[in-house]
Amino acid sequence: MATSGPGPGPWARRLALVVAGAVFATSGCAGSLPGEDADAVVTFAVTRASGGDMGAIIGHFNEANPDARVRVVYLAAAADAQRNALVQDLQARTGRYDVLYTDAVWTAEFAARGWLEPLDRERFAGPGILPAAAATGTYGGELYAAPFATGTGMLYYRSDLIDDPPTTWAELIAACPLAEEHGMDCYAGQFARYEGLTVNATEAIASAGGRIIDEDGGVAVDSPEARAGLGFLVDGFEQGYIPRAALTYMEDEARLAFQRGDLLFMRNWAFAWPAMEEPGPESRVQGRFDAVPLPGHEGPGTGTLGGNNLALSAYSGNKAEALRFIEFVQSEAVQRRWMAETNTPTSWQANYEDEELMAAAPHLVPQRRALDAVQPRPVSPRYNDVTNAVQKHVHAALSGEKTVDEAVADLQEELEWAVRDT
Amino acid sequence: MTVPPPDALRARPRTASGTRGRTGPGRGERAVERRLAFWLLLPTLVALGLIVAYPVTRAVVRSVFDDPIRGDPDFVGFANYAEALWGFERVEFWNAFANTVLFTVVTVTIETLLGLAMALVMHRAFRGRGIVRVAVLLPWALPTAVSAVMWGWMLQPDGVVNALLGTDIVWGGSEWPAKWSIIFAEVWKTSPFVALLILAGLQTIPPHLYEAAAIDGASAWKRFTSITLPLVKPALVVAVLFRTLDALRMYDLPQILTGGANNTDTLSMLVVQAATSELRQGYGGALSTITFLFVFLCAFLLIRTIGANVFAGFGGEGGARR
Repeated sequence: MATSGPGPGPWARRLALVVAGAVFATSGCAGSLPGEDADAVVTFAVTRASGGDMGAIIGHFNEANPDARVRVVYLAAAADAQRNALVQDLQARTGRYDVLYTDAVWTAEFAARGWLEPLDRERFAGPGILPAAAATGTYGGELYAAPFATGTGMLYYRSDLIDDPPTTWAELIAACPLAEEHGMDCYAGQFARYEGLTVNATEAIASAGGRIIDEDGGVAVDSPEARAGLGFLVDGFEQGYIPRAALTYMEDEARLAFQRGDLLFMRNWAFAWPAMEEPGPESRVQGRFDAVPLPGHEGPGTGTLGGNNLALSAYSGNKAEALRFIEFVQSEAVQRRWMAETNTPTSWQANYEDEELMAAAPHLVPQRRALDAVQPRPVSPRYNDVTNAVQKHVHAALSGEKTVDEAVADLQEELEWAVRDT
Repeated sequence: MTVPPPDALRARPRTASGTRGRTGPGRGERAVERRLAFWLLLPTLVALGLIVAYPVTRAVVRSVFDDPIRGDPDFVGFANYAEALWGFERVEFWNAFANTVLFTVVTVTIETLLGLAMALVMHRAFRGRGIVRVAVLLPWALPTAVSAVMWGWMLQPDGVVNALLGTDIVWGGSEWPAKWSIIFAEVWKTSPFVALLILAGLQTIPPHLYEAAAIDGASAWKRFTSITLPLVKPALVVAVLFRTLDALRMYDLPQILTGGANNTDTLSMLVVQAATSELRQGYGGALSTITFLFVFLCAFLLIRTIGANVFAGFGGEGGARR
């Protein structure tokens, strides 16, 4: 019966060799900072996922500024992993990273912990910068991060089926029988339990005139407005104008459903546009969709802000040089180039009036309009506690485990606990 | 008919204890050996101290301090523990605790049965055995994160699982589908590990035991229950122990598959969320200490109840004990 004698057979030995090989291969990868530029005085920590050619921008800067050479460190593509890397550096106070490419929602947390150097508002958030973008870099009235990339949610709709896009939720719901006629679902956003759910919940609540956390840092989610906002989403799942599958949607899942032709309306960021216009069998909606600012409860809705800013580490040893670099990256010319390369919105206002640029990226026109009615996500030094609580209770309400009233009351209680010491 | 414990079985422990009974080396020689053993073990002990004892101690110490946004943490005694066990976070904590226990009990039970079946198949000599072994082991070779992403795709509403089952279930949309998808993916991934350990155990069983039993007229089932099971038990216990301890720390699979939605948080997910995402190292330290103590207690109880002979080793005293 048993054929193998004592000791490992040839098969087991082969396995052991493979395992040993794998161990060696991975241990060989453990390295230090990429030190291509030994003369660099400023280190720029940026995500790999930005889409544009950051290397070329840095190359230009280094040519013009031999005394303030910048080297780039690419962090993980996922925002959470990127934040972990920055937080570790900041907690250890190494000053290894001078300029940080930060997410809009990290400003309050990093600033409250004293990790960021306050910036001169005149220099980094002057009149040329979109006020909405500047708001994401501000905490406690002080500017801590120079606005760079920005963006807000838009309502994508099928322009081949709809002539007048809805400006209110009632109009959107009224258009849903049309979706049914065409065998499509009506509306979807990002409702999986992750950061995107906080974005969608904030927008729904703000579009009904509510807030999760008010200007003074007080929790304000237990309000009729917030109930109405959350109610729009919860009713959607109950009445079927939002498909249940959307409970697992992130940005790409929603976009794929829309470009397959399965959705009449979709909430998404500007990035979705070029992907859906791309010729090929992947998308069935080229030239058959358009985007407008989000609809709201009793009038136009309110988007929330995404985007990335440039912050200066409080532990940086080369602040003057780092500030020069931030100024360069934020300048109109660089932002124009970035916008042309990535087709994503940036913070420099004048670029939206550039006809050539807008012709190449027509979706930035409605995006610019949408950026006029925005509210940031909850601003709190305990942002991660806040967003975890929002995701938990909103997802429970959307999946039908809780009523809107229960979810709002529980969320109020948990948020008050989360921000009790801020 | 009962199969009498074969001679070979008896012989094994006898040789083992025979070694012990023999007049050992002289006293001085033994002291030298001990000293040598100490010096040989020292590097390992130092390494363990650095990578195990130090972080665990740090987490325990940190857990009795609070988490201010600015300034230095203050000593708060057991407030962080109280917060988790009966304070504000108790619902979240006990839900995660119940999920962890549920996932562990269900997955380890299924894995053990499946793993045993897989091992018995892999142990048999037949054409294409190599291919079967590779196929069975493949899930274990995949990183958990990769298999989680893969299952995430397959479990999408318009994914292959729904297509095959002819159903329309939103797996990430409500509590039990979400829990079952985690259990399923975990079983799929780790049954091969159990199978591998049991296979190693099976290969230590001398084939002539089966021949003798067959000559005595024992049925296949009888041979399985009277020879295979008792002799493979030490390997089985090790497998169950490893899997239980592993499952109690389950993190990556539910994190990637559901993100904790639909009440699928585990204790480890709470620890990571508190300590690295919310930057509450004190509270996170308390959670990790509780998790550590709980896992430790489970290991202790398991070894006490089913695994008294684990450390006797394969084919040692434990192998023959009924």
